Amino acid sequence: MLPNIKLWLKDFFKTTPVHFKWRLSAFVSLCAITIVMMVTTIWSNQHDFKISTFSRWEVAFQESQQTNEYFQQRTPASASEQFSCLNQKNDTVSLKQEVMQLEMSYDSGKPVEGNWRGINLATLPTPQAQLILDHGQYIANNDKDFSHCRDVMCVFNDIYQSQQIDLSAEKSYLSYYWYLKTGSFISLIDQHFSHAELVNLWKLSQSLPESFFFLPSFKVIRKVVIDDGSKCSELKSSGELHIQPNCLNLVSQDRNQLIQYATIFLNVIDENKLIQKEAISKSSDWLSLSEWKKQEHINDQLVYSYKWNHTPSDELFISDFSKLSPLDHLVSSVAHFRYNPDGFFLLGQSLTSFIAKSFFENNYFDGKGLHEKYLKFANKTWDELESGFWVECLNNHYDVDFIAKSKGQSQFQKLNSQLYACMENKIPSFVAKVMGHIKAQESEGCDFLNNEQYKSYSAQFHESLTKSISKRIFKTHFDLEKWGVEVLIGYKIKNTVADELDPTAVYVSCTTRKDLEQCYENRLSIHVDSMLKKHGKIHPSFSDQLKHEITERFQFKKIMVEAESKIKRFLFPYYSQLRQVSQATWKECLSKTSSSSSISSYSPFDGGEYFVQPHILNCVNSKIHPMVGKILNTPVVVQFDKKRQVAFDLKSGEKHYAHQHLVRRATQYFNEFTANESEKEHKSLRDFFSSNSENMIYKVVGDEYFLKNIFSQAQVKERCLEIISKYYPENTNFHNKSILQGNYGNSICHEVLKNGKVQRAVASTIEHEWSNVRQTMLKDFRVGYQQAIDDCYDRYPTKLSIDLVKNSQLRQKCLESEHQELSEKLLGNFRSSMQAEYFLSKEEELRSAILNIKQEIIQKMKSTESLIR
Amino acid sequence: MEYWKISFLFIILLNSGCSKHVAQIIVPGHSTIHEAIEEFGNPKNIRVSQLGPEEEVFEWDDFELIVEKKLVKSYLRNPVDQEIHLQYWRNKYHDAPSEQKIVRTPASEELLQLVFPTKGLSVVYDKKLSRVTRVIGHAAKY
Repeated sequence: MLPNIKLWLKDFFKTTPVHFKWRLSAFVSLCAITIVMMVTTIWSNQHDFKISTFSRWEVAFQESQQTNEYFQQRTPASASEQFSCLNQKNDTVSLKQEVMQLEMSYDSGKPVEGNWRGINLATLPTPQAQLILDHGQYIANNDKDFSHCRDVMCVFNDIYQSQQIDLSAEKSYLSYYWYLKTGSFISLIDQHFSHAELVNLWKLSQSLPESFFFLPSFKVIRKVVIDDGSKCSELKSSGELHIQPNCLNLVSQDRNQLIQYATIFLNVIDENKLIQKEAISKSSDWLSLSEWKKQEHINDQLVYSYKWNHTPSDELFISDFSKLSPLDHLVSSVAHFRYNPDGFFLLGQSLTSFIAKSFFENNYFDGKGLHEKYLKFANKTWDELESGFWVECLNNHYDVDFIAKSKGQSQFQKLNSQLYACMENKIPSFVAKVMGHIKAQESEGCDFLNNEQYKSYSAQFHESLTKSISKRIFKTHFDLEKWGVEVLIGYKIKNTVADELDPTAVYVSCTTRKDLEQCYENRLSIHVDSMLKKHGKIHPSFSDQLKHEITERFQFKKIMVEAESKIKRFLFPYYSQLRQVSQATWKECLSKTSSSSSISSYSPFDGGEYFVQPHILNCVNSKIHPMVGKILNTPVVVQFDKKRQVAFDLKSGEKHYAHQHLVRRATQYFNEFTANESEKEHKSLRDFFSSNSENMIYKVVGDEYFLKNIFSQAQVKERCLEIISKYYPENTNFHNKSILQGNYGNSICHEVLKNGKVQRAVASTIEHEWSNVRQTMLKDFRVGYQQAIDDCYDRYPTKLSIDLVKNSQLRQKCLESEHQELSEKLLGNFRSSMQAEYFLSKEEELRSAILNIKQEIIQKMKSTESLIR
Repeated sequence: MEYWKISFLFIILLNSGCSKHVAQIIVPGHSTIHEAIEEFGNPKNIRVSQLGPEEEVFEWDDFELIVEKKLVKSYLRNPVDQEIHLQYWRNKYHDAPSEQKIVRTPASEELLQLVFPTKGLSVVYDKKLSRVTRVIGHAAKY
């Protein structure tokens, strides 16, 4: 075979022309380069998710907070009581500490340029400066000067104090805490939230999952009266959540209050784009499970309406409120699932598991659910610490390195009771730590461990936890005896893999994929496999066990929330710059004038509900990507101390994801600018038309040519709109002719229609026209009917004959039917004529005129007839 | 290269020919329900309209027809491609008279309806989802 190929190649090179050889060589080289590039890409992709830039940055950022002077000054003092209950930490001291800790996690230390009401933004921590940039208009809508303030708490305090409100300092911290925890702002320009109301919001922020917050569609909470009194809250497209003031104090009991607050607030999570692309309340899964069906309609006045129909069964509803619509049903279900689990679970398994899976990562909050949740947490924590404990105990009793080197299993078969006892001794302190953590970090932690309500489960908890850990120690003990040194190696590998593997990188590498979760799980599995292989041979069944334990640690939903939060914090320093650049771009695009009427792209900015002139839309869309790209080219810098700093440049896949994230944010800015500018233009147009409408009416009414040629209301309106459109203001950016006509033109022309001069002109034209039409029509009818009569007389003569009587009867019938036919034809023509709509009211007049003609002619004919006879 | 272009065009033509659009077939105020059934097959569901027994609603998978005395009064369908942008409609009919109405909703939803009476067309825009959710064809009104 081989010699044959050699022979063929030799022959090929001898006989093939030179130019063909060159082409072939080029082709082969191209193929080789492509293969090399593909291999490199695959290789680099595999290594792309080893450690992401976001994770490297986070480590460096945390380190810098230990070394950088700026942060050291801001580090909160350590808590006086280590394990105080989370649900009691709403006093000023605890709040201050929590606020400072949260603030530091977003503080890049990079000053934000700008000035607001006398405050130099560069002197504020980044999150505070960002708050002012994003929500300044909701802090104060007057010209108040805050130059005496050194932070936003002072600003809030000032505003609360000006309203003579007690507890203003605590309220300021609660407000700022809400912002840091949820990414949304509690408005200070509307009716203020009371201290008790803010505490309830604080409780929500403590007890709802992180995935419910930092939503692009939710920017600010405003306590304002909603027009529709039946609604307690309304999420506006602008990102404002309007809350009906009297809804916040409907119930007094603590738990019921939380249900009420959650029902009001949870409107926002339906469109959580992080969890799902579509609103859950509109998903087919929810609609079929909750048995809702939409029935739409449009009536003759072209008014669209719809109602939600539900099957008669009441089994799926937890409250009357939930019977209003699928969204209200969903929101109410989520609120009750979280704060009234025992009551909600009575509604059935399918509804309960849908809510648990869609919103709470399969966690439940009844006694049993909390018991499982905390036990799961304890086991996970043990899982992370266990290997360390074993090594520690083994070190006390064996030469572990020697055992590992010798790979002898026999050594472990002699594991004595001392080692086992050493591990058992670690249980009490571990359990105490877990309990402390549950109290301090879980919103129901203290209630679960202390309250009567959970007594049956909390009593078991300590025992279950101790048993579960003992079981695990025994299992490892058993494994050590069975697998020997492999268990130690396995533990080492597991910890190394868990340390080396960056799930954020795996997550980011999948963010371009539609099957994000599937992709993540597949890649994680491949990655763990390769890392396990890299660390040496382990028995397959033990290797499977390790893999399972590692992948369990990095479950998709948990990692997604963690990664998104990390990415958001990484990108936070870009926001202020992005806003400033977006503002400049917006101004530039508005200043351009163009007659372009076609839109080249609706993405990413489409103007939302507002009309935007095509050239502005095109301008923004052409600039948005380069603008974000340019911003992202500047690396994030972490300053360790005065001398040392590290810059973090994103890799291509990460940059792509960060780019998308910032484009979404920039689009939100442009939507905000559009809403503001459109409103401004709307106001100036209203002023323009209110001062010019009379003049416009005069222009129309004073137009002699116009008055001469009007004959109907519809025509007057059409021509009026045509005339006044010449006087519409030019170069409007957010209103086109169609909108101006709808908003102002119609009402001006309505006034024109009511004008006496116009009405008289129309009446006179109509009278004149009608007289002509009537005359022509009746003339035609008379001629036609005369011919028909002649015809009838010809067919049935009046001469004396034997058929005289019969002819007379037939003639009479003929005259009747001809008249009938001609009348119908004439009226048909009248109705379908161009002028019909203007003269329709004259149909009766025409009818009686026809009858008169008939009688007149017949009378005439009869008299002739009698003469002949 | 030309071959690819032709093939691509052919595939597009083939696809567009396969899926007939309700708006291309149904002329509200003129088309009858028989014509619709002939074109689209039997409906998935028929129900009486909420406005009264004289009106019936014939439902197919991706659109529905409101019918009175066998005559199709209007159709409601989902938007496709660029039709989800309200701007697309505003731009398409920038010279035609339009009316913007707030839809009174039974729930916590925020919808607006943009009507182009002379074009016999309305679109429903969901402000929270920031997109057009329904396209409605009706008889043109002048």
